[in-house]
Amino acid sequence: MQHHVEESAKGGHNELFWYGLFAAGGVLTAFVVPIHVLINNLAAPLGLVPVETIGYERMARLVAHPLVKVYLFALIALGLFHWAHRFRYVLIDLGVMGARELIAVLAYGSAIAGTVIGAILLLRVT
Amino acid sequence: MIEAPPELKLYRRPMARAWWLKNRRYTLYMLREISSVFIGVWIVLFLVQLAQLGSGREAYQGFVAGFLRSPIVIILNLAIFVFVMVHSITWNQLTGVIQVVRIGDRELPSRYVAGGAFATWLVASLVIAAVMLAA
Repeated sequence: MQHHVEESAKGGHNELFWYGLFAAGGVLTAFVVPIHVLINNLAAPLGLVPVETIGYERMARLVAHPLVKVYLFALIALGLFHWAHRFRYVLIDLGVMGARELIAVLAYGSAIAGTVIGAILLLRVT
Repeated sequence: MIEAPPELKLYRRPMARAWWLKNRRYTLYMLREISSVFIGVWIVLFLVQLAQLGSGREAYQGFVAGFLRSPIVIILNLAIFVFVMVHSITWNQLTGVIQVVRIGDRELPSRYVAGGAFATWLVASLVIAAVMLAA
């Protein structure tokens, strides 16, 4: 019995850690993602604002700035952990009960992988 | 000492897969949760864009012209936009419910806290737009 209690307490501690990342990602993405999608993925590609807005020179210059790198890293990392945590519970809501641990490992694992890839890609732009 | 049975059998009430289509509140709840998937998809698209940016001018320009400007990707991005708006609206509303702000010994009403979150969203959006659109 003691074993079970300890295990669930440990799980609770981990859960709080992932929840913290989920919540931080929820806040940051709620404030900034819509405008990024609007300018970067809709207005500029459609020509509603000059397409040079997301042109090579501008983007390379922006991303080369250390502060922009830090900001984009936080956005990528926290955004991915937000996805991972919420998506895990969507699958449980939809009745995927069997592979709970595997789903958690895959979800948080993808977020960690994406974070590392994001860091590498950001550092590559100089 | 009482030993716990090696495997506890839990009863789970059977639940229809499509339970979230049964009423409007459940459907809105599910749309809110699904918004996270679109945030994930946007980040992946952005990572691809960053990869192209790091690969040089030609690769990047090809990505913008051939991928970002293609109609199917524009449609995908419209869907992404709708869902990230769902996320922002619902998240900022919930901030008002969850986050307790005290001034002295009084609690700030939740609508003011939510209002602050919406105001922050607006200011952050204006700053990013200014940085991206500045000549």
